[in-house]
Amino acid sequence: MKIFLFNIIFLLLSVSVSFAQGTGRIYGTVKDSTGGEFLESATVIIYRPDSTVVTFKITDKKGYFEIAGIPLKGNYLLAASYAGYKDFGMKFKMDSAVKKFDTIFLSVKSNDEVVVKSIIPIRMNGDTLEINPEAFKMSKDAVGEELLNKVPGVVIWADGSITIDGKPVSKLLVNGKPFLGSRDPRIATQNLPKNIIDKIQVYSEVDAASQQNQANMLNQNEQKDSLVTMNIKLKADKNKGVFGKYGAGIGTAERYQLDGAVNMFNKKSSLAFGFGSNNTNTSIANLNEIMQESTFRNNYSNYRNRSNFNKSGINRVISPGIQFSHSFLETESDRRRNRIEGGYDFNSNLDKTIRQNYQERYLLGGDQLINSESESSNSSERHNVTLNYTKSNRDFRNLSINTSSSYSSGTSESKNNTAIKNSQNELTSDKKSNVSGNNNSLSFNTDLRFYNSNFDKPLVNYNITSSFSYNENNSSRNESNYYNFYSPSGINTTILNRIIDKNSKTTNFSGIFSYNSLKRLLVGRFSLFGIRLQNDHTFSYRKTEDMNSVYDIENNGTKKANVYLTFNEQIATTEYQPSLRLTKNFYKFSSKQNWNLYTYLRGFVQFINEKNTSSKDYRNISRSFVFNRYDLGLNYTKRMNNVYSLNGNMAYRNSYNTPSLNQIAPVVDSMNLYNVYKGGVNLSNNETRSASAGANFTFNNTKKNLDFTVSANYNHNSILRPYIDSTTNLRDTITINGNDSVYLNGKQIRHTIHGEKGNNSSFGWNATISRKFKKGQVQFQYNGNISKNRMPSYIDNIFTTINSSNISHRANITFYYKTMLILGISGNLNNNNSKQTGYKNNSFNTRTVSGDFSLTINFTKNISLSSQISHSKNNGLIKPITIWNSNAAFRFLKSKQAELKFTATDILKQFKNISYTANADGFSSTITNGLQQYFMITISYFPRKFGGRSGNNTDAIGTRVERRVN
Amino acid sequence: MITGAQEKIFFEPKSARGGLQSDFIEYKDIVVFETSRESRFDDFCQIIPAGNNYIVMDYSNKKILLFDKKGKYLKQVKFKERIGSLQYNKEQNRLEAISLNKAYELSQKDYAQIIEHFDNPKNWKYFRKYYLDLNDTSHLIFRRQQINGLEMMRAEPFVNDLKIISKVTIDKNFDSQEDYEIKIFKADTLLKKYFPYNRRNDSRYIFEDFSINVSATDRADHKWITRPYDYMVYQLTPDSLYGVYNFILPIDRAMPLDFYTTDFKDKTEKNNYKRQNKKLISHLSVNTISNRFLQLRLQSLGYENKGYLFDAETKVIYDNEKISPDSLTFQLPLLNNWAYSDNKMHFIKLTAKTVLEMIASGKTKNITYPDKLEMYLKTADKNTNPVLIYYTYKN
Repeated sequence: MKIFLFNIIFLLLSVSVSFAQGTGRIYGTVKDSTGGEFLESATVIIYRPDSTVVTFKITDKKGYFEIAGIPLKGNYLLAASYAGYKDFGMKFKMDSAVKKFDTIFLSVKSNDEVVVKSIIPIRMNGDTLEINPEAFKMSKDAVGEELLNKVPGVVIWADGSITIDGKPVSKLLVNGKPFLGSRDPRIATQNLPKNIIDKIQVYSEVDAASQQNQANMLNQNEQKDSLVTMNIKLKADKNKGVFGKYGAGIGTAERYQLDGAVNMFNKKSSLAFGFGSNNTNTSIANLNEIMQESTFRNNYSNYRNRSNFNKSGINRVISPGIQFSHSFLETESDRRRNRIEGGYDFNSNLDKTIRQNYQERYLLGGDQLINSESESSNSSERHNVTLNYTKSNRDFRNLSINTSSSYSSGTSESKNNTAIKNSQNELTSDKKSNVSGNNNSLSFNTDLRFYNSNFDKPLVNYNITSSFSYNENNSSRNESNYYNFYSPSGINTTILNRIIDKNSKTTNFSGIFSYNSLKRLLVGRFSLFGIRLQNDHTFSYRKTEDMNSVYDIENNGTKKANVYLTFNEQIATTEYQPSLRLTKNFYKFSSKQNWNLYTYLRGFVQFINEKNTSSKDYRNISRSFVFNRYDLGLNYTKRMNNVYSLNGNMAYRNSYNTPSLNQIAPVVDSMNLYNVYKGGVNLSNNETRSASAGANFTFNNTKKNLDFTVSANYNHNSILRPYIDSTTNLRDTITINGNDSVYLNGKQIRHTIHGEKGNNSSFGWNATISRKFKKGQVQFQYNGNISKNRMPSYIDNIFTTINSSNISHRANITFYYKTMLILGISGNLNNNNSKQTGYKNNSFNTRTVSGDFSLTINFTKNISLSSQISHSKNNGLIKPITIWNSNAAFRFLKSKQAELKFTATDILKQFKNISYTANADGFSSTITNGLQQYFMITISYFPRKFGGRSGNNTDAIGTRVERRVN
Repeated sequence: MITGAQEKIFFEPKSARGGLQSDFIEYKDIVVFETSRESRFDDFCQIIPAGNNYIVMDYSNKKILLFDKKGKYLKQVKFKERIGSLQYNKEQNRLEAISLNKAYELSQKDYAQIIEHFDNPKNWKYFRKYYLDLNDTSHLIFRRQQINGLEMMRAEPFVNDLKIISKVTIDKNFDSQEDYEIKIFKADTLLKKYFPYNRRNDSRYIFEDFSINVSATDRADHKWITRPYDYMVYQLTPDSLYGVYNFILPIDRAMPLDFYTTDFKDKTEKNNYKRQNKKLISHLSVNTISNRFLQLRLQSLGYENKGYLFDAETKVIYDNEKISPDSLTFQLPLLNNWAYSDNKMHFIKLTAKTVLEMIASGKTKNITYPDKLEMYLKTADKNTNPVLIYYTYKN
């Protein structure tokens, strides 16, 4: 393995060395030939003799340009252009490390003259950088992403992010709107053909969503965060289209896969249909996921539709969906929108899982060895409808209404056999259980947000947020449990058969009114030392109605109502929370750098009233609480333009938890005698105080990208903890339905107690270093996390502290050579420790080490081969597991719209779905059935039609002569 | 109201003439400022002769340095950017800045209401004046002072205690729509007003905020007046305003007629217009620099600012950039580094970097220099403070 890694590193180094060669720098000034004025934002482009673009630069205020990184000894063409002026071009040879150009004079175009117009690949138009696709020579089936890859200064990084001159693109729009209503840029860049793109515009917008900007919104002098936005402008006659994918695959072991998507769009509207079905444990969460998986071109195309080998059981999924969007405006911006979006998704899942579980418990009363086997099948169906409307205008007035509704139903069946032995390997108890049931649920959610900020009316700046939801759940379960408890005196058998019908309805309404003009109201135009005041009023009302009907099935088969477990009740909770928030911003900005320190302090009071009306008298409890809460923190940002940015934040806050009704006055259901929950009558409220801190450092330019993030959290609390009361070899009669003194044979009774103080802390880090070479890029990512948890608890009535810790590291390196070769190596280490202090002083440790190696070779743009090997080892498993998956894909037809793909999974046939974990009182390992080796052939077709039949599909770069007509 | 017969002057900037500096300028003297660790100041600075001292405003280091008339360093004082842009008040020998009072937070509407009713004393508290009294150099300290409405509007002093308000602000929040670009006040009384405009939405000035250019002539009771998007040069007296010169620019440099009728929807649209028509001249301004010459300045929509000399006798225009330094003016670039003018004495700031480049180019060979200038050229290195050179125009 070491030799292998060494070879890989050597390969990477040798490729990077081969890129290193001498480069030079040129500089000069562009002026107007008439008045001699400097021309700011003129475009200076360096071409190779074959007309490909080497690089470009936009002149500064003094018309000055400086371009570095031009390979030495080459012949080039320098072209300068400026809107309304004749283009300028001259050949030169890069024969020295620094080359100065004489002042370049551009002259104004005169009317009715014949001009030789070269196709300018990149130019500035006002504040907007414009990329002209016509200037880039590419194949006819090329898409937007391939075009962007050719633009100097634009980098599509291995993780999918796009940067321009080192600045990350935060939003990608098509004709000023999110394409097909989706926020994923790849749906546009991997589908839209290059030859329908008129131009790609890049500009900055104020980030209206930023918390800091919202605080500064009324102060026009303060620095605001800005977002780099990329807008793909389509040719006027190509502003409509239909595209998508149909795919079908069949494999060994009765595996199949179907997927399809049809997307339509025009100037203002879009409509998308999608369908997916498989039994290869491939996830299809919603239509957006189907769209992501169905793009026409993708460097990672061979990783699409990957089976999830870690999923338990075999899952068959069917999921069709439809989604639409309509904008009432021709173009949108971050502050000007008027759009409606909606969709419908259906998802059907059929799941069959066989599970074997082996558990070891180390207890004072004697160790327990628990073996259980289960077989379950579940089927579920879900219908989901969404409808969203948003409208905002330039005056920071914003309205959005989001609604969603879903209906789901399902049936389930399971069988379970459990045997418990003592440390002498003697059977102490066993259980057989059968459960079957069905359920359905309906939910409806709607929320409304309205923001009003007006520079001219400083007293009427406010936000209103309100939401309403209704949920109804119905379930019916038929459960039968057959227990045997063994003791020297004989066998005691308990048989429990029940029918449990539950109906639950929850209605929830909440609203927040935030008044942002409190300072103006109280102190008028006085600035109050720059401190801002915000007054919030939060109101919520929640009503839950539960109806539980439980019947015991007697041995003779008769059905008898269970009086204890049958009850109805209603819980109504009203909450009101007034708050005052003080913020102050310290800042300084210049053309080169800026820093900003945003501080906040929020104090608020939480009034809670809970009224329970139950058919069980002891649950007729009404409670009221008043909590004083606070939240304070700061956020520091420093940016050196085009060099680095640093962001740090700290926060400290408190919160309260109240025990629920089921914790303080539970209805004890002892259907599962192995795990009876009894609650805790004397529970009281508890407070959690949390401190958190985080920092992010980003360095980027066109060649390098470094991102480093750390975050730390610490929570200190006295919290409600369940404790485990476990005894062995004691047997008494079991009084069902909640009386005290239940001693079970080797089982657990759980109470909730008011524990001692506990705490948990975590520290995480994430580093990404990317480097772009002339023809490739390499990206290294490393992240990790350390967490520690101290939990006070009781086991067998003995106080113990469970200290657990987790350390995880993940590193991966991805190397691209053009788009021809993609090589990925990753490694994971996960270590868990759990230690009891006070009970048996046991300590448990699990450690998993795993690694991945993947290689994709795109022999041509249309033939590719990829392979992935995963290797993992766990200290609880005897044999390491290696999974090797591979696939090959071939694009054919003239337009490359068809794809044939061969997939082979688990070629070594080694996969076993095993998990091994450490618990508070021992270990457990679980084996489930899952995906096994299969081979599959898939054929896909990508229908594509954009605009009308005719169109200018010029792909060649060059010059053309045109007569200007006025 | 606007009287007088204007003289038409055809002005093609690229045809402006050139010449030798010594034909126009007479070198007077040099002031070398002591360079020490404490007295070193940045090249990005402004040097002003103030009473018996020179003051240097070092913007990079946010400090003001005081030198005596021979260039000897005396002391310095720090200043904060928030006090606003400092101006020298010759009459009172002090530096002054008027800025918004940071104790208040004003919306755009508030601001419009305040300046619309600038004569209401309740509105004066929203502005503050900071000043540094240079008469008492032993206690250099910035002081704060209440201001009145005319000061708030940055009114300029005129003859006989008259004041001129030349501030133009366009805002839809103004109650009244009529305002005048030039207003002459005596105490609180408005005596004269010229150039009416719609202060709510004048299409020429919308989305801009500026002052009409008012500059000194060789008579105390006359001022030059020049306006944006108008190439006429006016003179203002306490009783009248009349056109003096009507400069006619070439068609490709003059604002086209459609500009005056375009209704710009928003600031972006206007800025885009400016960007796309950078070379059009937005403002022509004049300044009396000698009995014979006027300094003309052309500012383009692209904020390019170029200087010209206008011979008021012969009506010939010279391009500052085409007037070359020569041996009689010691090869010093006297027309390009203007620092300050006091009556008809003009000062330029010369940085050590420029001087060293001059020496390296060989231009200083075979020239007989005045002693002080020669000494400076011999001793200057890259860490030497900039110097002040003063000169007059020949008649």
